[in-house]
Parts: sequence; structure tokens; C-alpha cells
Amino acid sequence: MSAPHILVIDDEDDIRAVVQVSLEDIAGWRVSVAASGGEGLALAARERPDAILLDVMMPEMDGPTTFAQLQADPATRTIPVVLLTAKVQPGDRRRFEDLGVAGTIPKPFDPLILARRVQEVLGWP
Amino acid sequence: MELPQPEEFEPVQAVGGGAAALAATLRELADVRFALDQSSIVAITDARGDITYVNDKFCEISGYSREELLGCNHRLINSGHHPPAFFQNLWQTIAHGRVWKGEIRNRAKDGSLYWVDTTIVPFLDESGKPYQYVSIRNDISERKRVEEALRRMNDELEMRVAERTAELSRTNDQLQRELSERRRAETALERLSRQNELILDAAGEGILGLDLDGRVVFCNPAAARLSGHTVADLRGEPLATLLDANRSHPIYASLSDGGAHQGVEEHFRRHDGSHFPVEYVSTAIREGGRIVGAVLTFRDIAERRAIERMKDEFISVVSHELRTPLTSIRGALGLLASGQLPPDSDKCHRMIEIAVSNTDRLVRLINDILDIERIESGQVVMAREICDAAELMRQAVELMRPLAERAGVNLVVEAVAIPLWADPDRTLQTLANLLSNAIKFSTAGTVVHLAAERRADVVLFQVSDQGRGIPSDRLESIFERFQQIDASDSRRKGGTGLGLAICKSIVSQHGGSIWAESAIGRGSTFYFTLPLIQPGKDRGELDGELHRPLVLLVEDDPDLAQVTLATLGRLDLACQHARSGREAIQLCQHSAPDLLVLDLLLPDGDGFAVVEHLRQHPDLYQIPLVVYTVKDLDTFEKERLRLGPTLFFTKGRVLPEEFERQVVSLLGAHRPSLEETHVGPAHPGDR
Repeated sequence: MSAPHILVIDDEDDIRAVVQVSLEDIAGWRVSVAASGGEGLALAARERPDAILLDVMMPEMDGPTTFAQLQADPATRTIPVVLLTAKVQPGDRRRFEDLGVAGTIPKPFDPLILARRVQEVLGWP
Repeated sequence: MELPQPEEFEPVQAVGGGAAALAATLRELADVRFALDQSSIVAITDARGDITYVNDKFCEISGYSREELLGCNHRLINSGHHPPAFFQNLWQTIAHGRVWKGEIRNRAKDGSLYWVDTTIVPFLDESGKPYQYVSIRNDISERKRVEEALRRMNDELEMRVAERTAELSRTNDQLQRELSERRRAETALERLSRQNELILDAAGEGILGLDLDGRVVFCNPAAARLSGHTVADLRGEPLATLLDANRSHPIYASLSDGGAHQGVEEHFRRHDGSHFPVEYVSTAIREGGRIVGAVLTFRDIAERRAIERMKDEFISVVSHELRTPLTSIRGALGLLASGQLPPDSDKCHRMIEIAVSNTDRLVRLINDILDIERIESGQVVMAREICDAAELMRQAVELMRPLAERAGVNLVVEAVAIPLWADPDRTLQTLANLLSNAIKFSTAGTVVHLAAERRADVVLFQVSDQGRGIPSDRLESIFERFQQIDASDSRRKGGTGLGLAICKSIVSQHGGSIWAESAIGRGSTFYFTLPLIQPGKDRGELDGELHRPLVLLVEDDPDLAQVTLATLGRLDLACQHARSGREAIQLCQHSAPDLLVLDLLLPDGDGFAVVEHLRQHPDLYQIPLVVYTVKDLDTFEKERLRLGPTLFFTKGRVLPEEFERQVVSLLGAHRPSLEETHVGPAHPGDR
């Protein structure tokens, strides 16, 4: 498998930057970034990444809405989505699991092992 | 002595006539004596009482022979029954020649006693002195016996009657005691029952009594109110009216197992068909060990649920807000620490910058969270003093100018000199916060405008921008915590999502209000009000004179007044006390107090009348006011009661500490002296 291509959708500039450096420079993956749900949908449809790291709390279109739209579009339906979220209360987790995402990685995360966590969640070798 | 023979019998009175006549008389007399002897007990004694004659009947009844009796003194048969005075009377009568009649008890030879009805006739000599006595007796022993028996019977009867009467009286007393005891018990029971009824009526929880069939046998007003029924409607209804469940539901369990059961996840149905969440406890009622029903208490927990949800949501939001900068910091530092980024590279610098800026953001966030908590919990007292609105506006603009310049926004200020009665630091914080928001959401080249004006009893500040505007449905919620329109946008601009919530807390603590108006695409204006300086207040302050603040307590209840005066006294405040509305107005006009603590229900003009009157007065319309009442006030009533900075306390619901704190806060200008008093020893000698 060549280097995975990951789309990061997060409204926080700093977090996007950290995730990008973590996955590109540490893991050697290829990363695309989007600052909003809308931007992410367009990018996902165009670039067909191997997986999407999706923030939950975003203005205008939040993570769950973005996920639902990804699922609704045949072009993006099969792309696995991992939620990367600071919403880590027990109630939040249950709600996310019910959505049908591949998994959840809580914020803050260790940038050195972020790629490994994504692999684990997605069951990648 | 010889027994007198009939022929020898001396007549008592002289009898005239010849011998024939005499013989006839003697015969007659002999017949009389014979007849007398046949019917009566006869004895004759001489003047000393020695017996000279007895007839057979005398011998018979006395048991003595004639020989034994004759010559003996009559005392022989004295029984000793009668007292000496009895015989003295007898002798006195007959010795004076008068006939004596009476009943005498004599003693027979064998010692037995007998009663005789006696007539003693004295016989007199020529000189009128008795020379003998004839006693004629009739045996009345039988009559006496019967009489005695009757008397005894009578006595006994009377005794029995007395006993029975006493017994009846005792029984009656006992009955009376029992009756009054019962009355007392009944009164106590009635009182208890009334108390129970009051308790049931006053209870906020719904209380239902159920019979064994699960039917409502009693219900309190709260149960009816919560379920939307009337008390009368619910009585006799099955519990199924409120709950869709069959008898296997645990709520019925007490009726069968006699235990107590509770449930926290149940929903009752209202009369209109809607449902509400309840928490209930059912407890069996027993009579003589037998289960006869159950008491079901329940409460509507919808509000509690809502508060819990809000709390959870808030914790979730705070957690999210803290984790977000922490994620950037942790990520950036982790990458830097790995040594895998080329030193001095752009990425390296970017990570350092991310770590620093997010650390700053985290610090701001924590400060804001703590700040708003402290303000809202009353831990931060607004340090009020006289300050100039113009000066504060200029300071705020200076503070924000660099931010405005970076954003290319023009800051325009119309500083107006208005004396304020406020905490200058907190006012500056509010102004800076609103200006900073306005600048952040303005595009370069637009204008942010700060102005102030005097309105009735307040200063009205306004901060206007020409930014993108706020949707009308968010104009109120933006003042809540973490309710910024665009969190990420706000964060990028250094916001924490708490700025407006803090502004709102500060303004509320000053007794003012804050709101926003906006037109999408054209900009927003934020308004807030703060109290004006009170007239009369500035004189002493400007002279540098530190006087003890004067508090006027208006309270008609003497006990409550005493307690409140004691509380105020502890704060080293000068106190005046008015007991009526009229007195309150007079004292206010006379001494212009620094604070008015006002009860509403007063004689001679209520609290509303007092406030209305003071509002008309140019020197008194801005006195800080604590409305301290048992009355639950609605918004309209509160509006009618506003004077200067006004606080509302419900009697019995405010802790003394809180009351003290708020009084101190309202009298903010005197704070230094107050705090000294507060922490110092209670008595000078304590130190």
C-alpha cells in the first residue's frame, strides 16, 4: 500500500497544522486539509482520500452533518471517517458511535502516534 | 305496806254525796282499777319512790315477784339507758304535782330491757305536796323494737343510699374526667388532622392515597396541580389515570408486599394527555398489620432534568473549550520534542507559535471561567466609587487602539463627562470587551463608535460597529456562556466565548442591563446601563470626608426589624428605623440615607408608595435600595420598585451572609472602612 492519503476537516487552523505535520512529517502520509464541512465535502468528492479525520464542533456545518452528507454522496460514501474530537464526555461518545463512523480519536492526541491510532481504528495493517 | 284495796283507795279529789253514793263511787273506782290492771302496768310509790303497790302486769314484765318489789325503791328497774337529766326532769315534774308522760326503758330482773309508755300521776295531800305517785305504763317494747328495726332499716337504707350516691358521684366524676379527656383528645386529633391537611396542602410533592384496588382515596392539591386534574376529579379514579401500566408495575408493589418502593424513571400522564417525568415513592398503609392501601408521593422532575442537561452540556462545552487549545499545545510541543522537525524550519517556528498562542488562549479561557464564576457566585464585590464615564471611555479606547489599528478599524469616541456610581475596573473591562468584539467583527475601513448619554437615573453606553450583524434569534443567547455566533472565528480572534457573559454579569451586579440590536450586513450596537452618581453622595466624597454610611430600615415587624438592625450594626453602619411608609418618606427627606432597606407591606403607605414618592424627589430618586419582602414580585412590580441600584430579596430565602455582602456591595464606596470593621475584633478589648 502506497502512503495513505488523509483528508483533515477542522475549523481550527492550529489543529489542522499540527495534524498535517504529524501525519506528513512523522508518518509520511499525504494530507489534504479543509477548514469547514462544506470545503471538506468538496475536497473529499474531488480527491477521494483513503480516510477522513473529521472535527465535530464546527460552525455552520458540524461534524455529524458533514458525515451524513459524505454518506449521502455515492462518491464519498465508502471513505472511512474517523472523528477527531474534543467532545469526550460519555454521552458524546455514545452519540458518535451511533452515527456509524469508523471510530473516534479524542483530543488532545500524541502527534507522534496519531497515524498509528488512525491505522488501528481503521484496521489498516 | 299493805296493798291498797279497792275499798280503801283514796280518791284524788273530794267526792260529795251520801254513803250510798260513796259505795257506788267506790265500786266504780274498783272497776276502773280492775280495768286498768287488765290493760296497764301499774305501780304506786310513796313520795320517796319506794314501791307501795304493783299489779300483776308489773311483776310479769319486770320479772320480779310482788314481794321482791314492795318496799324497794323504784330505781330497782332503772336500766341506765336514760341520762340522769331525764330522771331529774321527771322528778321535778311530779314533785311539783304535775303529771309526767314519757317513754322509759327499764331493766327486768333477768337483765333484759323493755320499753314502757309511762304516765305518772302525783297524789297530793292537803298541803298540795305529793304523798304518792301512781305510774301507769303500757308495754311498748314491741313498738320500740319495730321502731328500732325501722330506724335501723332506715339507717341502713340511708347508708346504702349514701354509698350509692357516693358511688354514683364517683362514677360521674370518672365519666366527666373521661369526657374531658376525650374532648382533649378530640381537640388534639382535630388539630393534628388540620395540621396534616395543611401539610398535605402545602407540600410541593404530589401525594396520593390509594386503596387496595389502586384507586385514589385522597389526593393533595399538588398532586392535582401537577397532573392537571382537580382534587375532586382524581378522587375515586384508578391510578391508571396517571400511569399507563398494569398491576405488575412496581408502583403497585407496596399494595401487595407491604414494602416501600421508589422509581426515578417514570412518566405520569396529565389531564391533557401530555406526560411529565416523575420520581415517586410508594409506601404501604397498614391497619392492625393488614395492608389497606398505599401512599404515593411524586414530584415533577422535568425542571431538574433540564438543569442536569444544562449542567452536562456546560461541562461538555467547557471540556471542549479547554481541550481545543490543549490539543494544539500538546501537538505542537510533541512534534517539537520529537526532534523530527528540522530546527529553525518554518514548520518548527509555526509549532512554537502555535504552542505559545494556544497557551495564552488557555490562560485567558481559564481566567474568564474563574472570573465569571466569581462574579456570578457573588465572591467578587463590585468596588463602586464615583468615576467619570468620559475618563473610562478614553481609557478603554486607548486599550483597544492597537487592536483597531491592526484591523484597520477607525475607533470613534464621544466621551461625555457623566459621574458614575460603579466599579471603574469592571466598567473598563466591559467597555474594552465590547470594543474588542466590535473591532474583531469589523472589516478594515469601517468605524467602531463608542458613546454615552445620561438617561433618567442611568448612564447608557453604546458600542456600534458596521460589521456583519447578528441574527435576530441570537441577540439574547450571545450573552450566555460559549454562545458565540462563530466559535472558530471568535477563537481565531482571541475570544474565549465568555466575554459577553462576563459583561452581562458585571452589568447585572451594578443593577444595570445589557442588550444588543443588530441588522444583518449593516452592523450591531451593544447597549448597557450603569447607575448614575447619587446626588448628595458626591459632596462628602469630594471633600474627602469618610463618614459612616447611613442605612434606613423600613420594617413594621419589630422582631424582624431588630434582627435586621443587628445585622446592619455588625457592618458598622449608622441605622435609622422607620415603621411606616409615611415615616420612611419623612426620614428620607430629612437625612438622605445612603441605602434604603424596604419592606413592602407597611402601615400608612406601602413600599410601592414610598418608592413612588422618593422617585419624585430630586435628591432621593437614586438611593440604593434593597427590597426585602415576603412577596414574590413579578417583573412589572420589580420595575415599579426600582430606585437607585436596586436588589430584591425574599425574606427567609436569603442567608444573612449574602444579605450583608449585598448591602456592602450596594454601599461600595465605603468598602474600605466596612472591610476593616468586618474583619476586626468584635470588641475593642479583644485584640
